[in-house]
Parts: sequence; C-alpha cells; structure tokens
Amino acid sequence: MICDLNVVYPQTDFLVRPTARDLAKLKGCLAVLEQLGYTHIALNFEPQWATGSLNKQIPSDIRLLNPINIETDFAEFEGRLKLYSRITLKVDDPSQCQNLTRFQQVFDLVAVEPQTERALQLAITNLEIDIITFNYKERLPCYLKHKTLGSAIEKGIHFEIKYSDLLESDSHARAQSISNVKQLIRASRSRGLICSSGISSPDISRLRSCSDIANLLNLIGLDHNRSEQCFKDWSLKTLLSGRLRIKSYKQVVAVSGDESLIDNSLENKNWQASQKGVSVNAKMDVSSYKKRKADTAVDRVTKKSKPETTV
Amino acid sequence: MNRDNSIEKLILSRCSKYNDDGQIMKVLEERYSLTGAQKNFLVLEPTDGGVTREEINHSSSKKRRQQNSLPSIMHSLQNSQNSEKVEKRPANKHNPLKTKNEFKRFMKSNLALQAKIMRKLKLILKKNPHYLDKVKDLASLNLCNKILKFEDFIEINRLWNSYIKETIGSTENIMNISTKLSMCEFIGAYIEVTHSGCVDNVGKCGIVIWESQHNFVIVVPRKDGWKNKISLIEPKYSLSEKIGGIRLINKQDTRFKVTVNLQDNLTVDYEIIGDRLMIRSIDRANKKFKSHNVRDIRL
Repeated sequence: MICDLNVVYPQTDFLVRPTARDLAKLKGCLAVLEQLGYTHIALNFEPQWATGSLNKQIPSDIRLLNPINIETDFAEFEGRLKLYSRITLKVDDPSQCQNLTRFQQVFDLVAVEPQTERALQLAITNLEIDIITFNYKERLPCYLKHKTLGSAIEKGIHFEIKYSDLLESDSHARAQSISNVKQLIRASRSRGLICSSGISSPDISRLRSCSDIANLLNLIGLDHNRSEQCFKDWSLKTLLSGRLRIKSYKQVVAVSGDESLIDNSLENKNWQASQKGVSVNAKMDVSSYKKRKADTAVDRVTKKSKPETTV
Repeated sequence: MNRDNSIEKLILSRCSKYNDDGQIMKVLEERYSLTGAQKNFLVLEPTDGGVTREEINHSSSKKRRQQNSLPSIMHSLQNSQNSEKVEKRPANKHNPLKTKNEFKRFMKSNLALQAKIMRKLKLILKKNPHYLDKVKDLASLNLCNKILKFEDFIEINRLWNSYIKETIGSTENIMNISTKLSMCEFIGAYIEVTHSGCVDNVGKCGIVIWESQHNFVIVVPRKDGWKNKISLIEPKYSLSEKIGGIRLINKQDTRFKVTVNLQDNLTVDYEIIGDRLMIRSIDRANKKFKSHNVRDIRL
C-alpha cells in the first residue's frame, strides 16, 4: 500500500467547476500513478484564498463545500485506486479558523499551510488537522524549531514533503526547496513526515515511483527506511486519522463493513444527493453501509433449541 | 431478620379467617421463614458487612455441611444467623462480600474451572481417544454442568437489541449513531473480535456479560465462531471451542465488531476500537472523548 496524498485538483474556487480537459488530464495523471504502483491517492483541493478572505467565499450549502465528486467523475478508477479528498487551507490570520470544523466532516484529509509563525503555532495547538504543509519553493514562514514540531508529531499531525518542489526546473526555487526540506527533516528529527507528489496535472512527467524518491530523500538526509515509511506507514497513519474523523465518533466507535478503517468503498460519495429536500452531508449517510441481516451464533442457537421445544 | 411484623399482624387481625393470635403468628412465621412453602418474593440482602462464605464453611463442622443440602445462598443466610461469633468486617473495598469482589471471585473460579475441565478431558482423551465421539454437545456431560451456557444469555442479547433499537431510533447519520453507541452499555451485546494483538483472540465471538475498564467478559457459544463461517463442511473444533464458557478479552490493541439492527431486517456493523474505550461503562456515559494520535491503532 503506497500512498500519494497530494494530487492537485484543478480547481481553486468553490463554484467554478474544472473543464473536461482538466479532468481528462487529471485522469491521465492518476493512470500514471497507478502504473507506478500507488494504491491510495488523495485529490487535493486548494482554495486560492487564505483564511482571512476565505470566509466570504465559502458556500452555505454543504453539498457545494466539496467540489471533488469521486463517484461521478472518477468512476473508472473504482477498484483500481482508492481515491480520497483533501483540502489544503492557507492560514494567515489565525483568528479566522472557525470554518475549519465545517470542512472536517466533508473532506477525508484536512491540511493546513501556515503562512506566519503564529499560524503554525495555532495549527499545532488548537486545530484538529492531519497534515501541515509548506510552500517549499519560497522561504519558510519561520525557523522550524524541534520543540514545536515535536509537539505536533506527538499529537499525530504529520508534516508533508512535496517532491515535485524538489524536482523544480527553476534552479533558485529548487535550491530553496532543498534547503527547506533539509530544515524540516532536521527539526522533526526524521519523524512524522509524509512524502507526496504535490503534482498538478500539466506536468505529469514529474511523477516518480516511491523508491526513486526514497533515493532522493536519502540524498537529502533522510535514511532509507524512513523515506520508504514516508510513503507507506506514516501516510497510512495520516489517512487513518483523517478517515476516523469521518467514520467514527472521536475514534471510539467506527462504522465498519468494508475491509479496513481507512477504506471508503461503502461510503456514499454522491454529493448531489439530498434527503427530503434538505441538503445533508453525504459522507455521514448510513444507508450505504446497511446490509441484510446475517446469521449469527445467536440465531443458530435459537434455531437449534426451537425444534426441541415444539416436540 | 429481627422484626415483629406488627403491621402484618394488625392487618391479619382484621381478617375474619383468623380468630386468635396464635394462628396469625403461625402464618406470619411461615410466610417469612426461609424454608416455608410460599415464596413469592425475592429476599435481597446487602452483601457488605458480615462474613465470607469460606469462613462460614470453615467454622461450621464438616458433618453439618454434608447434612445441609440447601442451595448455597440460603445456606449462607441461615448460617450467618446462627453463628454470631464470627466478627463483622469493615465495609471497605476489600470486603469479600462486596458484590464486586464476589463477582471477581466467581469469574476467577469459573475460568479456573474451565481450565481444569480442559485438563481433565485431555487426560481422559489420552487414555480413551474415542471418549467424546458419541457426545454431541459437551454441555450434556456431567463434568461441564457448572460452565456458563451461551443459551442462557440469549435473552439478555434480545433485550440489548431492543435497547439499541430504541436508543438509535431513526437516525441516518453515522456520527449520531456512533456517538450514541459510545455512550451505550455493552452488556448483552453480541460482539466479535476482528483485530487483536493476541492472535488467539481474533474471531472469538459471544455475548458480553461484563465490561470492566480493561476487559470484556464474553460467553462464547459451543462449536461455533469463525470456523463455522469459513467452512462448508462441519469444521474440526478444538477442545476449548467445544467446551465454551466465558472468555476474558483485553481491550488493548483489539477491535470489536458490533452489529446494530435497524428497521426492515437491515443491519449496520460498527467497530469498537478497544484502545479508546479503556474506561468503565459507568464513567463512559459522561466522558468527553478526544481524538488522539492514531499510532497505536493498527490498520
């Protein structure tokens, strides 16, 4: 199980749908990823606004919150790839983050891109998120301290390395991103990192298989075992925490019926569905998990005992 | 029970059926005696304070114990009235007559009994490998009559099912249902172990009879379980599966499946993540759960 938790969805606005050409390109991208051996892929929706100005743009209808419609747009990947949805919010003004809770039950993964040091602090201490990411092509918002990152990792928040930034053709940006990633690896002491492509569909040629990138990360200073874990164990842990937020109540009792806790094969993914005219969160709909009553030991024993009583 | 039954006496004296005091006394004595004919009420005695059963047995002579063929609770009640020399114990948590300790002892002795019967049967099978060939149900053996039977707990499971149906109602929201489930009582639920750090526990299923902070105690059915599900022919059961009885299952690193019955013969499976449920059921009702690092939950 190899994960790529960041494939950019070609949409930056809640209402403007991507064109058919964009979607076709994205599908090509997913097909390449499948060829490279990836199994779990998260489509990343990045609103163009930072939190300061985002609030006015968020639609009130819950059905419009998640533009990624896996059921209708990506039906051909069913059974081949496990697709998840992810949102990355740029946080500049920490006081404007109340809307984050609205996204938490709509997207499988919630990531935050802090743009100031205060935003980073807030994301670690207050917000219930899975991933913290940075724009590696530019300077980081602040010097990363081990203490802050350590507390985040302790909480279960993972830090993301985007390898497409490391393969940037602009040499200045590439140098900057290499130094940034080195800083992240140093500050996190090589723990709690996940690695993803961060690819946007035009540059498909930048996709690499996980062992290629493991070698690249090895060069930067992450040991080989951990760079493999970035794609496998730690990515799956991130996915697990994100999925449990949707499937369970505070990780105590989770709905099941599909094979594992991160699986979404039984989930209702049709965002256009509504119940009695009221828009509801399709992910929270239990009806797709329902199944016929199976024979349990209780039934078998009662059946066994019944003939005796009649005779 | 030291009472003069004054109220009852007064009421009965108005009755035309009894005309003298002696008759009334006789009726009342019979009514409240332990061995009397009419017993349409339940004697509930507090369990703390007093003496342990072991002490009673120890103090009373062997002969009397043999003579007494009464059921054990009555036996102890009678004896506690008679033997007053045994001093009273303080009502602290170590008092062996506290319900909790009494229950603990029962669990321990029952688990030990199961192990003992296993050993005995193994010995018998060594001498006579065909001993169990004709026995269809091990519960019919005289040896096993003290082991708890799955059949006796089906009624509690039926109760639990209707309780869950009532609490959940007609909600269609995953989150609402799991919120309610996390506050529910699980005694009586039919659970199945889906994942466990202890490989032996995987696939065990049964009705919960007790839930503590760290453990579920379940009663497992005889000759049933995961083997029945995966095989088309009659599977080969191990001795412990044939015996059944109670099993103590640790919550740590374990996930349990609970099936919730909804309307129209439809069910939804829910999974209890044992690591996050490490809290007694009485405290759980008011507990505010929090999300944690998922590193301890296995996929």
